[in-house]
Amino acid sequence: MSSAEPEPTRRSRLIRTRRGRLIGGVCSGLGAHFDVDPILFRIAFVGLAIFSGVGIALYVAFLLLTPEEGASRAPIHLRRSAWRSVFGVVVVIVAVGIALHAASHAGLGSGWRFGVGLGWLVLVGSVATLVWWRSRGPAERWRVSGDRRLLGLLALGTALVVEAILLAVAGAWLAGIDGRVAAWAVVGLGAVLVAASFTGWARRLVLPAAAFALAVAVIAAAHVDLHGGMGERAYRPQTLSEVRDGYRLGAGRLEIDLRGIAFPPGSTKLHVRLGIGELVVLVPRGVCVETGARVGGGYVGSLEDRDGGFDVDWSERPSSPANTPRLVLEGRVGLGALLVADHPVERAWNRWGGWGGGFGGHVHPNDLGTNEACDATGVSR
Amino acid sequence: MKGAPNVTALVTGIALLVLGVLLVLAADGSIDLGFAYTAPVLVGALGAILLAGGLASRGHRRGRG
Repeated sequence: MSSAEPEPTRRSRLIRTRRGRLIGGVCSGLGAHFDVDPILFRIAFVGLAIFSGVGIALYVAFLLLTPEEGASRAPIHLRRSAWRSVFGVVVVIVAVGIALHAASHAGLGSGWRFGVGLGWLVLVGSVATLVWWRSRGPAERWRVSGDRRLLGLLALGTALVVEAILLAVAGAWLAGIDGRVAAWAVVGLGAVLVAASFTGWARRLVLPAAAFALAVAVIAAAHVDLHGGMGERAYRPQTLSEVRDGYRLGAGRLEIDLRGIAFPPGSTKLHVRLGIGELVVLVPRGVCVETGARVGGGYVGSLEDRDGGFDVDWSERPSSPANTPRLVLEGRVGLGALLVADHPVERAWNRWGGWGGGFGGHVHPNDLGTNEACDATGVSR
Repeated sequence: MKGAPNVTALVTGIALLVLGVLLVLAADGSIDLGFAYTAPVLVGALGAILLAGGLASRGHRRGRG
């Protein structure tokens, strides 16, 4: 090559700039690297974050894998040969995600989203723990990469919060399946914490142990029983012989539609039970409905009346003319809603208006129907 | 083993022991533990843990200062 030939232009190394940064200097660094306005990258990251959440993951990846201006190395420094391993890890994560999706569908039915959500939490917690582990080191290393300490603290905080959420879910599940074992587990954790308080590692246990105990206490206080499965169940018996003595579900939405049944004169008893979620009983008009219910925390709406809050004990025993068909309904809901209506009820999620709504819904008593086959109401709480 | 215990962990442990005993009694049916009783216990425990943590960190700062 002769000296007269022009040298090929070399693009500058991708770094996170200090000037013009809003958060971690990722977008301003990309803008400087590709010589475009960083606002374009900001719009792209925010758009991807809002519509799929990928924007957050991408931003964090750039934050971890690109060095800050003035630093020689990125917070997580990967050798050229390590990229193949990283790609392998990503592929394994995708495979686990697909398997989790399928397994959740098979094991949890329509409650599969819960399994997938839990899987993602485990993944986020694992990555945060790994990042925290990698970011540990002597103080002089932090000076090399200025934000290594902040990154480590953020990762530790994320790992602790995810750990606490997972333990709270585990505590809630255990308390809903076997309250006694869960209670003894809280006693055991308390004893471990007291013993560990005399050692150096006790502080790390406080938040996870408290989250576990809090979940167990809430589930126990609400008398939540999670036996019976999870997901969405709908039953539509057409004759009285098809009606079971009782219906139950652990968590989700349970709907029992009795409107197709011609109830005979006299009392017909029905027991319904739900741990967490929404329980809807649809009754035919012309039947006097007697409702006894206990809801740990949430809402009861039975045709013309409703009540909500904690420790709700509901008793509606109206009188009815002789030979009137009478449905005696005994319901238990741990956390959620028990609704008795004479027409289909919109799902709680829709009534609340998604994330923007409030707990308890906005079901006006008239929305549930009337108990017109009865003489008078006799509601007591 | 260190001489002085971690006060936050110690108070949290004691609070969990008390809560656990109440939950065991409730699971056995000896007491009916609704939100009316659980909520004050939980809030009281949280207050005690925060208070212990606050006092411990204040003592730690004074010790260093």
